[in-house]
Amino acid sequence: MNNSIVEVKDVTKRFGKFKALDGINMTLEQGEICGFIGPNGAGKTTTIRILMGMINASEGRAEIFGKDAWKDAVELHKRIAFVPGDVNLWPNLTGGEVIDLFLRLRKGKNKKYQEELIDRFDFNPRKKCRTYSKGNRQKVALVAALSAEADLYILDEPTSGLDPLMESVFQETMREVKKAGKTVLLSSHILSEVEELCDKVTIIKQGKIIESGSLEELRHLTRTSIVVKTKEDLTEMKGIQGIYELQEDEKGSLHFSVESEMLGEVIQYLGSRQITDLKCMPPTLEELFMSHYKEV
Amino acid sequence: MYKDLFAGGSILTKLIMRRDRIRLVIWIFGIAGFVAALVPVIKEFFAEGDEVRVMLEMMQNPAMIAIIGPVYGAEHYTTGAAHANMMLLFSVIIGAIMNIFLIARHTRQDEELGRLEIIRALPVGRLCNLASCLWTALCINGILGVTTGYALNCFREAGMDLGGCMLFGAGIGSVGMFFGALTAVFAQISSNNRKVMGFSFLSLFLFYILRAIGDVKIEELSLISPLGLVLRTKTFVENNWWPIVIILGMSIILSLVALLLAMRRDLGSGLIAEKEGKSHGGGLLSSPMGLSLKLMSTAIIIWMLVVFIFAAMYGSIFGDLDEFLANNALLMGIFAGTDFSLIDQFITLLVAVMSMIAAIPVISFMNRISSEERHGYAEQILTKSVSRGAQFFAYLIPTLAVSVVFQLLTALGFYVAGSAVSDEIPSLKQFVQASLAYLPAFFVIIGVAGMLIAFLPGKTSLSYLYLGYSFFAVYFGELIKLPEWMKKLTPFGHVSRYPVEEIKVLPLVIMTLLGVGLLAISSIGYRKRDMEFS
Repeated sequence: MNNSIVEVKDVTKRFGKFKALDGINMTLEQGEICGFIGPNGAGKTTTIRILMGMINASEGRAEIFGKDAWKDAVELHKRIAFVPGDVNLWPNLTGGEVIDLFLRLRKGKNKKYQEELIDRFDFNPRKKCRTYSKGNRQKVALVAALSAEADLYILDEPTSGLDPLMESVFQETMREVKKAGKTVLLSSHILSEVEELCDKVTIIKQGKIIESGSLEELRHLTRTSIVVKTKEDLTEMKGIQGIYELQEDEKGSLHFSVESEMLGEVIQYLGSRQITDLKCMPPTLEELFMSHYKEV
Repeated sequence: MYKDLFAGGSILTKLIMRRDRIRLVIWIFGIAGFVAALVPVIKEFFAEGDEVRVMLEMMQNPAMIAIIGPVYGAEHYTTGAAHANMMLLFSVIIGAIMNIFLIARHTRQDEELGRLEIIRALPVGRLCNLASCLWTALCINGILGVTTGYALNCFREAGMDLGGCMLFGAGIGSVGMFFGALTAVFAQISSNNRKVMGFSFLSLFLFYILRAIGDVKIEELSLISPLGLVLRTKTFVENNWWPIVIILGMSIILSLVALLLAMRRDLGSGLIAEKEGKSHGGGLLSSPMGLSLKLMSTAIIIWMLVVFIFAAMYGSIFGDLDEFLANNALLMGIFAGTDFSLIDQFITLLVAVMSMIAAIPVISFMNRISSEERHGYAEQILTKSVSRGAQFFAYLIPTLAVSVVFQLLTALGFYVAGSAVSDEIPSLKQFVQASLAYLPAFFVIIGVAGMLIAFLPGKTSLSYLYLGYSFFAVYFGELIKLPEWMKKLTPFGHVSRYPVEEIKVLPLVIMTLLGVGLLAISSIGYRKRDMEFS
């Protein structure tokens, strides 16, 4: 047995003829915060539902703390805090009632921290759930999940309805979780959030994991964009391999992107052309994401 | 300005019809087909001489009048008169239910789901949706009425001329419109869809009770209720159109009230404001069963009242039944030779009817397992430290307990109201035995609901269809001489007719075992399957 917190091995999930997940693999180690990104319908929520034991994998196995996610669900849930993608709440209960219910169903809770979180998220727990907006329903799930004493946090787009202020409160709480050495799986469309919080990113597309690793590793696989101005003519650059989207702007600066492994060579070439101005930007997660999704 | 309020109406009307086209076609042909299909059956049944007299006397007793309404045209009891007598009230109620569903779905439910907000953001008028709903209801009720009328007219039986047939259809259509408009009013007042449905069905129930009391004792009460009014058309006997005019007039007034209320409120709110609640959960909210009890408590209490009032209403006519019997030489003769009175005979029928009425909420409580899942609520619970089994039993156990309570309330209702008006009725113990004898049948039907939840979670409403069949087989089974095996397809057909018959223990034991077996299999099935997400 290894010590991975989450271990997904060759998991396939079929719904009738449709293959929602196609042999995915994923691991999370103790203390890691893993961003889980991919377009709508790629299989993020299906993966998370398998991890939470809501649905069973057609093939392969999903383990958390070395136990089976489907068979040992009840036992595992004592140590997992979860925020679902769609937070559906009973319309005639209040937010406060639901938070208490959730915490009692997990046993073990932190009353003082719960009140503090309600305060920090600026949440009114006395209103009936049917009157809450999406963001407020997410706050219910977040407060319940964060004030639970858990070792693993599985969060499915937890901030998609939050305003920027609340988003930063969320990031703050995540940093506290990280400090405490907890493990987090964070599915999100807000790439700046993933970039800010996560040590590791896993990208899923059409039911397959297409990329997984630390942000640095992933950046290595893509292009760096460069803006450069030189005294000498650069037109012959077009011929160099690994250079893309080359264009000149009205001020005479040259814009292009370059594959990371070609970077050294290109800089060397530019150096011999009397550089007057040079800007070199590593790819943002956004560019990374786009580059993976545009090309089929 | 006024034109603006209704802008976009014709497109929305088409949208409503488009969304409901299959559902509405099934409702319309279902109702018209059912009403027409019973014409030859009733004709045959009332064909033979002496039996008709007995049957007619039975129909005129207060218990039957309370259930299906008064007998008209007894002197010359044609097939038409018999058909209207047996069928009009039931078909009108089914039409009313169709309308309640139609209006609630397209007003408050759409509003709750946020669909109306998207529509209202387009250049359409503020009253447009409600007006389109009412307009659709009017068209649908018109089509339903005419279809039913023509279907009936195909038979050309005695007393069933075209005018009468159309009047029958108009009765269904107008009462349907009344309840549609009433639902539209509730949709403005209440703050959510659940309450709209609750208020609408409650008023259907109260109008039924009002009519029952009115028909047996105080005629005026029947005239307040559209269900009573529609019977005053004396369809196929006198063919009065004035009650239809009154019902339509009331529907128009209710529609206008709904539109006026809609002008005065904001989208998403009700005229009755939502109160702030507690900031912390009470002790009940600490287990899945505590949650299920809290969620179902209002419905349980309301249904307990409904069951008790229903039973008490039937019980209150036992006195009139005595009197009726004393004055009826023919029926006295028939029952003189047996040990059982007419009251006993009717108790068996009434207990069966009451049990099947109580089975409606029982199924709905059980089906909550599945509706919690569809709404995404179950996911919230099951991702905490709660097993599938615990979730299943959290709804199963209250359902079983409530079945027992309903049956006891039925017995109590009969006894309390009955003993106040008659000395001839059985003891409370006998009532309790008669109603508890139906519990094994409840176990089977809960078991069937459980199997659907476990293995066909998208089709849980089939349990209601099975109950509908049970009602048909038990209630009309004798009348249309249904083959014995078809009567035995329903658990309610296997219960002894106590106090007329001895209670046979064996079928009850078998049904109990069957019910337990079905529930055991379904709880395992629920544990092993994927959760459903909408």
